[in-house]
Amino acid sequence: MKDLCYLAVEATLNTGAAYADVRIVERRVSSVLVKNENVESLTDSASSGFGIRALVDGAWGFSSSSLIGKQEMKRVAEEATRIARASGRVKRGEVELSQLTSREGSYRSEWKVDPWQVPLEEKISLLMDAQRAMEVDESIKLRTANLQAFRERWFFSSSEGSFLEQDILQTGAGTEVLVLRGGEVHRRSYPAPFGGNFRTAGWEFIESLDLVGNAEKTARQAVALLDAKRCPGGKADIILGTNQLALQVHESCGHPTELDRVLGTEASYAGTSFLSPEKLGSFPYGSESVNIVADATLDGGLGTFGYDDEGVPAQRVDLVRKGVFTGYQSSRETSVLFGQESSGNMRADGWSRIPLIRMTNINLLPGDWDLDELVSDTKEGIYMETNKSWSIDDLRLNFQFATEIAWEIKDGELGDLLKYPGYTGITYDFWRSCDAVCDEGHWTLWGIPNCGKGQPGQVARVGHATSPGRFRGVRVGVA
Amino acid sequence: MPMDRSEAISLVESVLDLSQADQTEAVLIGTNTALTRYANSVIHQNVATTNRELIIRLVYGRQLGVVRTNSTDRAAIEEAVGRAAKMAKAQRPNKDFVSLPRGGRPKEVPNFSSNTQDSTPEERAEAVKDIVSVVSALRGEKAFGSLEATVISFAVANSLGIRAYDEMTVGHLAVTAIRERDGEKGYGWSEDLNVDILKIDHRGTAQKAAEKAARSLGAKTMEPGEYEVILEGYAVADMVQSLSYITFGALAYQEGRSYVTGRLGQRVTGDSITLWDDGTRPEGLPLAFDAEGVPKEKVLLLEDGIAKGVVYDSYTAGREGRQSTGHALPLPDPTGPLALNAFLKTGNSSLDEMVAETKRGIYVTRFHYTNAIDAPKALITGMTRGGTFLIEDGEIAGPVKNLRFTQGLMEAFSEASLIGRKSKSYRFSSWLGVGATTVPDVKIDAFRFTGTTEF
Repeated sequence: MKDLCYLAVEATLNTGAAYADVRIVERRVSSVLVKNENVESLTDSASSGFGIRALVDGAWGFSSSSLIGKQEMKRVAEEATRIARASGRVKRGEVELSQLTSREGSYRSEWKVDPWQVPLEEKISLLMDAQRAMEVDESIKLRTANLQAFRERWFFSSSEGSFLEQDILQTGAGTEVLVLRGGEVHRRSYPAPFGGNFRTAGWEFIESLDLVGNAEKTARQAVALLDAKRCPGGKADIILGTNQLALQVHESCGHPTELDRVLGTEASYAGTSFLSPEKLGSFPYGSESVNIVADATLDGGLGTFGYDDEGVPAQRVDLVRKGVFTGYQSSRETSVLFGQESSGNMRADGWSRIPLIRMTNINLLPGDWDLDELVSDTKEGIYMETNKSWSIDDLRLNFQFATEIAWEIKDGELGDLLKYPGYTGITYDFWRSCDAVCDEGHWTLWGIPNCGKGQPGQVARVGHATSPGRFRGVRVGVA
Repeated sequence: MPMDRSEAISLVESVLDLSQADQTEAVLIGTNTALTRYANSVIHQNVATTNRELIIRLVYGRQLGVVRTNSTDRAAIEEAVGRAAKMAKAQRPNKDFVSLPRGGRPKEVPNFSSNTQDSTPEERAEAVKDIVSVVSALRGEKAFGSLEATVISFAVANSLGIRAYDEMTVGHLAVTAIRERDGEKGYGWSEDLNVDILKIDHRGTAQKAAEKAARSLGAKTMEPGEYEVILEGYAVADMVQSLSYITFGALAYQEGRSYVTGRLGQRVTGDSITLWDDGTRPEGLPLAFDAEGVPKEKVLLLEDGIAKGVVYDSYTAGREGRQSTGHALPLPDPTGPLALNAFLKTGNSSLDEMVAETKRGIYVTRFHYTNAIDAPKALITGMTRGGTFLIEDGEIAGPVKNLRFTQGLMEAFSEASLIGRKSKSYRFSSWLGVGATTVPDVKIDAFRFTGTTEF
């Protein structure tokens, strides 16, 4: 692969590029989906290819192909350069890249058991057992269990002299139950919605989830929602569980701190950001309890790696410190505009896509509250858990979330179950209303494998670690 | 990468030759995508990609295994067939599976343009230069968006006799204009879609976005509440596409997640609403067959407000002892069959007439980030975007800051009082972006806004 990488870079320089990099990527995904008694999907996918970026006269071109070979690499190199020259027809300044020390290196994520070595029969049995354990009431219409394994081998080389290799293995699994009675439908999932939880780890992570052991409780909670009270409307103090808070961080801090959005390059599609450059270092994003980092070095995160897709080493950067907005997620091209080095956030969805600024693991750092103490400290409120739906405007200000389940808090104790919970607000008002974050003992790492961005569309696998947090005077029950 | 018919059919038939399964299906998808993105009036991302993917489904009795690979040499195909066989044999019988489809003869549809196939990066750059020029003509405006030329070839073969091949092109332009004045921004949006990229009116599209951005400066905050709304086609298409996902697919219907579960034959919207799916019409982006090679049927979804049907693939059709309607997506497919080419029946109004008929309401260009809060109730939330205006006494009174809506879609369509006499096709970004939703503008008499934002 090293020779092919060098060949691709050399071929691109020979066509006139001032800078070139190539990524050769081999990706494999295996998934099993069980619904009720049927294995509805049993799939193994493999995709390999390479992508070349060329910088010519200060403008970018990118081309990619699934045919890995010398002749095709020369053709793609020429095409990348031709495209870059075409880009140069509509430019004002020239793209510059921040400093990066060239290096050779390799990174391999840690795992104990390769999921591809686990017999398929064992995977199917696990999911079958989990869905059966959810069959606890006649109102249950649909029992779903799924698992996925993802592996990516990656080779990178640039005209600055770097050659890097990376091998990352990720796994995830979850269950979901749907109850139906009299036209009313509720969903409850474990440990997270939309496929479960995901980690950079091996089969051992799926085993640790204990899907079967948690199935009955998940199903009974769904059934109980049928007879639950409706979440009231108005203003309330709310405590968000870690899964919902992970998505809140994702949408209202992860995306708006992406520097490409801030600079307008996603303005026509994903949108821009309210966190404009003059706010950096001074804007009161949240309360003093709010500390958020982008950390690609966190053990097991879905956004954990050795190098990003520009060859920048993984790192941890502050985004919000003691409530003040302090940092962006950046690339070499964007960081140089601020006189900084890249934060190592350039990630591409496989070989066929150009790297974009993407989240790594965006984490709300733990506070010092115990969850039981936090509930005890809340006279009246609502505890909401597990994301059900999300929506946020294109500057990432007005958001609205729904969760699967909630409980009333009365006189410092969890009380009645509530259905149709949801809340809405403006991002900075919401984070400024945060007066408590739970401690490290409650800090949970979530993996979101389906974050969309870019054109053509790209899907990123990102992580978020959070503890439960309390927010005062939030508008609830909007749905 | 695109292939001609004989090459593609030969490749998928090679899978059938290698397989020992009771039933075998091979799907080949070749893509050449070229996309030029521009922002702040310069080209900042400019990409091309070439790929060829083979999807193999083997069936032993009722045991199925699926392998997807983008290596298509003989050795790789042999390995993939062997892997799919091993997976299928490790499976447990799927009691709902009946058979792969037998299919029929797809229609010829006009979905290919050599202009799109031959589009060069230089031509796209010149088009973007034009767009920037049109938008910049209004002082302080910047252009953002994308211009895409894609060629896709599909070939499907199965052991029950299906042989289907087609090659289609997609030309798509999106323009966002942003006008800045005194630290304030006005936003305008427009897009165009055609199988022939040279038939895209890039100057006209840019002009519309620029004019809207200019009119959007000085937006005032509106109180949330129930308003009359005039929805441009972009917003209507967003609503219809949401319904395609959560309501009109057989999987959601059978699993009880659809609004029309248990309601077929019943009134669910006002009688002015008729909605159907037809992947063979020349409007939008037609494709004559689905990912199982089954010819696409016209499926009536709503007729005069009555729920009439949903779309099927062979798996969901088999559950009900019926035939597929030709709406399968490529595997793996957790979504289920999808109405990719929905049409909303036109009426006899126009945007000007709708504005004139509105005492006090909101004019919406498009929606952003819509998501289902409660899919079985078709309850959706989302934001307005790209130019939102207040209408007073039959005239556009001025721009307003974007609003959040939380609205049942069937209830909204029940309040449709005026429907445009012309329709336009809007891209449906699912499955390689090969679908399009063809709708007119619509006036709705009661639409619930639940929040507002700062721009």
